Order: sequence, then structure tokens, then C-alpha cells
Amino acid sequence: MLRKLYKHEFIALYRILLPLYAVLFGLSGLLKLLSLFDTSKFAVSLIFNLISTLTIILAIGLMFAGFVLVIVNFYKSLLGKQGYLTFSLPFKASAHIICKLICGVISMITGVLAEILALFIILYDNSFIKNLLSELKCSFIALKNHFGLGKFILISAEILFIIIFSLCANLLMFFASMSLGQLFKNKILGSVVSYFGIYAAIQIIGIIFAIVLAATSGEDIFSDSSVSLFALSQGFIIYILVIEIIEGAAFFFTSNHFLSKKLNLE
Amino acid sequence: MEKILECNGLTKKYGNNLALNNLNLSVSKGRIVGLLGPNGSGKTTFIKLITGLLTPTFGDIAIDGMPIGVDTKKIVSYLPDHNFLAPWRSVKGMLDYFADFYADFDRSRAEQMLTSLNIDLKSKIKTLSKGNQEKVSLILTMSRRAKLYVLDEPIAAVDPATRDYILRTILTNYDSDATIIISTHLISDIETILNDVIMINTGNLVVADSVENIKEYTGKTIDEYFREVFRC
Repeated sequence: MLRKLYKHEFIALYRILLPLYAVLFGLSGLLKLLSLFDTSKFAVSLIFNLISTLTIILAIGLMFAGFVLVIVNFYKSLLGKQGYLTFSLPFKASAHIICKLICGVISMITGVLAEILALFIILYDNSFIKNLLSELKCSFIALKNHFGLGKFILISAEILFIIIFSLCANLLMFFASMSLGQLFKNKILGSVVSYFGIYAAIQIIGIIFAIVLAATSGEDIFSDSSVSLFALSQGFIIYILVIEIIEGAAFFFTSNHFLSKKLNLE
Repeated sequence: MEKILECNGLTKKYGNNLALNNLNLSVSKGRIVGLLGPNGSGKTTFIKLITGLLTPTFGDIAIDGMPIGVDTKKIVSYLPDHNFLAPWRSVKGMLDYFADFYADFDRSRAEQMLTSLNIDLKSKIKTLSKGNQEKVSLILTMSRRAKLYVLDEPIAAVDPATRDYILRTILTNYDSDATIIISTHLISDIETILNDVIMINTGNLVVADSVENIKEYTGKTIDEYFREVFRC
């Protein structure tokens, strides 16, 4: 049953995203095709520049489209009139939040992958792929030699986790803002006010936390030569991950509480 | 008679506003119940509590002996007083949606009713007229083989012909052991189909009894009695 919740969430998101990806790929293919012609000719150059501009606008738009779409879909399907049906489905509010979070993160990742693929289409030729592979290989060897294979894999995994957790925490912050904002008479304005309220609260808590951490950490670890760069980076990464997880959990429980106990549909 | 719905001390407050005050009532299985009251009496709040869209401030509700939750949502078919259909979906898409989430959804019955109304399954919801959107909502709701149907103002703001269609659809599409709770203030239109009546006013229970008993001890029709109780 839960699988079907995800299926319908993906349908809701990708009915808009897939056509956008298709247009991006189409424009990229067209650019590639035009690049085979003599672009010094006025007509070819004009079309080439026009399509380049369109592609860049679409590519930039796509970076935000996924995020905006997830938020709009959350609002409409849970807090708008469709919420009457969504909350009548045999699921807890938490299932809806988790589903929208996971599908949202996946849709943003596919957006990035679509942009990379579009770039490949534009730049593709044998030498490009060969150069890219050789550059990637060199970078990989250099990083591996510097950190060692184990540490290299560890740092790569940690960076990946930071990106995903940060994405989750950001989306959950929007979800929490909307879940709080629905309590206001003007729900959209309430959501915006809630967002800035939460943002301000996080900044204040973050500053207090950093001051307390600095005051209690004793000696200045940055000037301690016995602490390696790797150990420093690990401490920093763990700090960020812990913060993201705490924030994400707080936003999740806030959203879940207000959608379960204080739902205020139109 | 076995009970489908039981409320004990059911109270709902919105801030300092008391929307429902200590409601104690039960509804038997297989009955058609009119939930009657003027605007702002607490009917929709009561319905939202039954369907799990709101949680009570105090008191309990049980449906088929279960507290409100995922299990009760499986057996309650709810028609809100708002259009809940996703405008971008097709009628077929809405059928898929209901079929995916409700094990008791009778798709062939829904398709049959839609076809009889000449509603194209490929049509997008947003392209349908308001009347047809309401009919699609009703058909989806009544095509579930639910134990409890909760219909919030199903005949408000529709023309008389559509009103007849809605009432006919309700009466011909529920199992005899299922219960229907219909919220309305258009009493004369539904009085003949009701078995029981729950009247509430400003969150307080006025009466919860069978139509037969109310007629007997008041000597009035339900519509007349309602007008007397809620006279401005």
C-alpha cells in the first residue's frame, strides 16, 4: 500500500518534470547538431545563440523547479482542498511527510542528473569523453594518494551524506513552515512568516551552540599542530551531519505534530 | 443493535471557541442518519473528528469498536463539502487512485455510473463542469463498499435535478448493513430517506433519536421540528 503512495507522488511530480527534461534534452541535442554546422554564418549563429540562451534558462530553471514543485505539491495535496482526500487515505500523517520527502529528494537528484546528461549531449565527442575520463582518473589517483583509499572513500561518502541530509533538512524546514502556517487565516502568508521565524530561531540557536562549543572545547584546536587536517575535517563533517540530523528531526516532528493534531483544512 | 459509531464526552475546542461540547451519542449499523443543524452548529467539526481530520480536545470516538486511525479510515468513505479531486488528474486517474488505496472500491460500479452520466473517463477533472465534478466525487465515494459513509452537505448548492441524482445514487449504492451519515440543513429534501436524526446546535447535542420517535413525541415532521428548534 505504501508503495502506491510513492507511485502517486512520483506521478504528481514527474508529470511536470519529465516534459521539462525532454525539452532540455531536445534543446541540448539541437545545440549539438547546430555546432556541427559553420557557426560563423549569421543565421546559424543566431539560432545557435537563441537555443543556447533557452537551454541555459531552462537548466537554471530546472535547478529550482524540482524544489518549488515539491513544496507546491506538499501544500496543494496536504493543506489545500485535496487534503480532504489525502488525509482520508489509510495512512498516518508521518507516512505522507516521509513519502513527500523521499520523492522530493529523488526528484531533485534526477534534476541534477538530467542537467549533467544535457551537458554531456552538448559536449559529447570522442576526445571530450576521453579527456574527461582521463581527468577523472588523475583526480581520483591524486586524492587516493593524498588521503589513502579508505579515507578517500570515507570523505566521498560523508560529502554525499551531507548533501542528502542538507537537502532533507531544507525540505523539512519548508514542510514545517507550511504545517505551522496552515494555522493562520492566510495560510500562504502564515507559511512565509513561519519560515522566516524558524530561520531566525535556527540562526540564534546556531550562534549560541557555536559559542558554547568554542567556550567548552578548551585549547584552540586549529593552532594545535598535533591535530591533523584529516582529523579536523572529520570533526567538521560530523558537526555538520549532527546539526543537519537534529534540524531535520525537529522539522519532521513539528510537521507531523501539526498535521496530525492541529490540521486546519480550508 | 450493533453500533458503528460511539462518542463519549466528545469535545472540540478551537482556541477558546467551543465547537463541540461533551457529545455522547451512538449510531447503529444499517441506518441512514441525518446530521442536522444550522450553519456553524458543529456538523463539519463532528464529521472531521469522525474522519480523523481533527483530533478531539477531550473525549473518545470509536468506529466499529476501533479508535480513529488508519484502520477506521479503511472502512469510512467520506465526501467532504469541498471539491477534493486533483484538477490535473483524469477521471480514470481518480479511479486508479481510489482503486489503489481502498480495497473496498468497486471500480466497475463506478465506471458504470460514470458511463451512464456520459462522463468521459479520459476527461481531465478541471475540464468537467462543477456539477459533474460533484457527481464524480459522489460516485467515487459511494463506489466504496464501506461500513460507514460520511457525506458532508452533498446536496447543498446543486440544482434540483442534480439533487435527485445524488439522493438516488446514495440510496442505490450502499449495502444494507452499511451506515450513512448525511450532514445537511436542507431537511425537507432528505427527510423521507432518514431513519435517525442527530441535531446539534452551537456544539451541543439537541436530539439523537429515530425519525419515528421524534415524529411521535413532537407530532411534527423533522423539517417542522427543526424550524421550531432553530427559530431565529
